[in-house]
Amino acid sequence: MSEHKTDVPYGTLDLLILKTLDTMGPMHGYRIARRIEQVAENLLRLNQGSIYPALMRLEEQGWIRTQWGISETKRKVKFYSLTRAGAKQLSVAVANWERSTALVARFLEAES
Amino acid sequence: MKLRFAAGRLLALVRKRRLDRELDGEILAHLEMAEIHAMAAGLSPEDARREARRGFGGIEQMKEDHRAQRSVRWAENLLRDVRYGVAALARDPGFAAVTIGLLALGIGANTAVFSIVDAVLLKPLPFPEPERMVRLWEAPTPTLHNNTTTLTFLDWKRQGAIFEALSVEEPVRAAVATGADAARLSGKLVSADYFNVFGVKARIGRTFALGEDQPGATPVVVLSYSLWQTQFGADPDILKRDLALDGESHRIIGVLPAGSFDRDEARFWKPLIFAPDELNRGQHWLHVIGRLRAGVSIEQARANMSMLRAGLGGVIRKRIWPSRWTRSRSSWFTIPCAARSTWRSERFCWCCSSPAQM
Repeated sequence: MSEHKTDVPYGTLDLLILKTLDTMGPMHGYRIARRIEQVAENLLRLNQGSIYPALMRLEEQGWIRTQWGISETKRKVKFYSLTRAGAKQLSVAVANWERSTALVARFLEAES
Repeated sequence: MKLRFAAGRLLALVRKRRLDRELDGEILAHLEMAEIHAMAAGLSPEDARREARRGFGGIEQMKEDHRAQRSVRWAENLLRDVRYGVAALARDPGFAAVTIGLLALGIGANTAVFSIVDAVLLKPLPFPEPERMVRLWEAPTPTLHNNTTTLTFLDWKRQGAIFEALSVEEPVRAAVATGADAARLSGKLVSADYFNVFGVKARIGRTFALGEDQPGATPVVVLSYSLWQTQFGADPDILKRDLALDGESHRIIGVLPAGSFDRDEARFWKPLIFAPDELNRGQHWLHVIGRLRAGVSIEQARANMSMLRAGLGGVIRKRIWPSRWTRSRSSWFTIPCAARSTWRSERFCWCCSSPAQM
């Protein structure tokens, strides 16, 4: 099964997290990781732990904010949510992504 | 603004520990939820735990990344602070100059003060058993210096039970002619015991012998290492040469070792021979230093000096201190050189303490 999984494309984890938070609202780390895996439908090889450095990076940028909440297991955990700046960044990142993929796609078409 | 930045730096340090702790909590909660999830999917508790760990990936690696994210941010902030600071200073060069000047002065003054404190208070004197070295004074009075007189010094000198060595030390300048050059050099007039006070032996030849500070003795001189080096080209046969001080020939009997005495202004030392008219108790002119005998405490020395003072009181009062005021107030005292009061490396500084009168 794992042969079919790909790694998270370089630089896209931030985008995936922002999009997830945009769609689902505030979530804790485990839920974010699960959600990304579910959407990817087992096509993605994600080290769930790797989202935490990404979350830290996004928080430092001011794109997400954290609040303390209680998990399903009754633990105090951080809930992450998108900030206004984060929503703006998401649209920028999405636009960038679409532009790059469109560019690559055009090359692939032209060469084939 | 600046205050905010400084506070930010400080907070970042406190923050690091808090963030590490919070991250540990998140990891724990994450693994727990992943475990429960896996068990709900039908795995045994052990398998569920393994599965949760596998899904999470390398924990330590992740923590490293987490910290790296934080510190990158930290470094970026710092860079921005620096840029901001430089820009702010560049906008107002006058203010910048004043600020930098003040900083330079502040740092300079601190360094200078610390150097003095270090030299005077912290470092031990560069001589053997410096705690036994003392300065001897008379108590100051409104009309008299607290230097002592020739006859009083000679009285002190007879206190062999207390002092292993006792010497006067008077600065002197003399014209020195070596070859074609002539220069005025600083030197010191001292008792024959002088170098015993310091516990310093000559590098070449010898220091003063007993009696060389007595009337009629052959004029002799001891050179500093630096004088030997500069004026005599480190001549190994230096002891065969003479040194003319103010035209009077002195036999060179020794050269001091390199080191502490080179920091003194003095380049030569010669015996102070008291002239007959100096043998009085009226002229307070002598600086006295001494070395206590091993085992004699400064308190014992002071007590002994008081006794001596009392014993000589009659003589001294009648002859020297006629006024009622000085009679009631005059006294002698002894100050340890090493203990926070006096000097650094044979160069006497000052007495900042005012010892109790005895």
